[in-house]
Amino acid sequence: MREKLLEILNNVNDGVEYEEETALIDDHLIDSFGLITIVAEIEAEFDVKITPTDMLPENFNSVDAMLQMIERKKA
Amino acid sequence: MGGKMYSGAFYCFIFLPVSIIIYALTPRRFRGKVLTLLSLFYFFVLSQFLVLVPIITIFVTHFAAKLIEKKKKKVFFFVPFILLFGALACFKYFPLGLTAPIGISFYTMAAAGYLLDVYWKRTETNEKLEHTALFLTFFPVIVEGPILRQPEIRETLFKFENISLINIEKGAVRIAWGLFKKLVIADRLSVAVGTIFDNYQNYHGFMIVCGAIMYTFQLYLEFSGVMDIVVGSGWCFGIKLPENFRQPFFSEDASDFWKRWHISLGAWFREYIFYPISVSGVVKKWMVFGRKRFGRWFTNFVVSILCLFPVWLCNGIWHGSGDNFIFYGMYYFVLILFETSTKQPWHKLMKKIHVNVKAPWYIAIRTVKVLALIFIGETIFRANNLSEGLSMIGSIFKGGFFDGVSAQAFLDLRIDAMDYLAIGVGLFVVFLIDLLKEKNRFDVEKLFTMKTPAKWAICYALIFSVIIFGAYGDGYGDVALIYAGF
Repeated sequence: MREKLLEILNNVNDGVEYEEETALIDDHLIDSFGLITIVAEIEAEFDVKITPTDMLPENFNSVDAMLQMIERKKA
Repeated sequence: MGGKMYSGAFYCFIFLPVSIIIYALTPRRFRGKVLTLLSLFYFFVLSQFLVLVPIITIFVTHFAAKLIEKKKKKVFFFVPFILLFGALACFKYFPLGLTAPIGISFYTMAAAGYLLDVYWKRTETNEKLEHTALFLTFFPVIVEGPILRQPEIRETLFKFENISLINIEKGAVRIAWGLFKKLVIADRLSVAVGTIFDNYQNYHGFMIVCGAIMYTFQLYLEFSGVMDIVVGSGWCFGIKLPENFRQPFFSEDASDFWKRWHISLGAWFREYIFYPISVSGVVKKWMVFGRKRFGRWFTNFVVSILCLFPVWLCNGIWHGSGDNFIFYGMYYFVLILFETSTKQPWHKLMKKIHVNVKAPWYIAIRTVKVLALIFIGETIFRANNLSEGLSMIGSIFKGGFFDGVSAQAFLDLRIDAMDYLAIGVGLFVVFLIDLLKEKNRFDVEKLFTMKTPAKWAICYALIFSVIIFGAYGDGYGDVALIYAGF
């Protein structure tokens, strides 16, 4: 799952060390268009539904945070 | 009213210091209530009995949020929503002859955002009424923002820390810096800008370009200067209010500009309009459908339209019902749509023809382009209506560009040579600070760890430049805050 997510992220912008970062949104490493692309890709790839409730920086600030959110959605 | 605003003597020398003393003498558990009363008192000073409007807003917002949390029914959400925006519309858009309560555009946005956050379960509701009251009407933010968002602010706003000397020092320096920007630079520019915009038929070519540039600088220095006073006032109470500006003239493009200019407004639209639409059913269905049939680029292009159009329409309308404001919103809609849909192809092209997009010459051209776009936008924004704005832009290209330009032409703008000197030196100082901030070389904390004589030398320089070079006296009067009118 991690591999696939990294592939999605690198497709959006390959100039970021995603594994190292913990403030992707807060530090503006992912912009709003990047984020909505990522959300669409996550939905298609992992078969989860992302709602306005999930659109909080803390769910997208790091790879781990995104994975946790996906796990939570799948459960 | 101007004199009672943040840049006036009443606020800086009476209201704020007295509020700090009252707050300091109050036990922590009553501080929320005391700050609320002080805020409503300040509102009363500005808008008298219209204070009832924010008070009603506080009650509606507070109890609606509780209802939404308990019973997640749409009705508890839509009724207060309609009430809030109905009040805003009545005061702001319909010609009923009503005077709008000050700050209504700002606290209505904050209230609506809070209800949406509760509805989407993105924040807890406020237990205490005074917390909701403070969130909506904390006196530094009530006149022109920044527009607060509950998930972002609750950590600092409801802590009610003790007053500390270092916080007051930090706050005071920030306030002095804001006064410098407003009184030394913006208020002088305001006179010259007014002369050009009110008699725009008399000018063309270079003078109009100067008018556009001067207005943009005036707006930046005034609005960001007031925000310095606002953030500084928050600091005095140990409250870290969000920043509304981040070196906007160093933007890469129009989208970048809006991440640096009136940040809290852009953030509101992003959080409560852009993202919700982007994860809505319509957009998702289109994504699946579009990608199969039309490919990635066109699908994303349509998604951009669906998400951006409402944002920029609302941005325009938020500023007012004038056709120039609607145009201003649509102007940025078109620019940002163009940028987002051409960014990737453009960068690929640059790579192919071996253009280094980090080269100084490339950055210089890009900066000139984005500044020109910003100046055009602000000219339309400042004009009395769209047709005047467009005719001003058109008159740049009429006749000889430098016809009628002379030193006298500038002195006829009703400010003298000393004013231009003050503006020039002031702008240079602001540019230097912004440049240092942009390069991450500016750390205001360092000022407070300096040796006492050095620290005070800087503080005195700032204070005395405001006192001596501030635009007071004949011909100036109080210059009303631009954004207080929205």
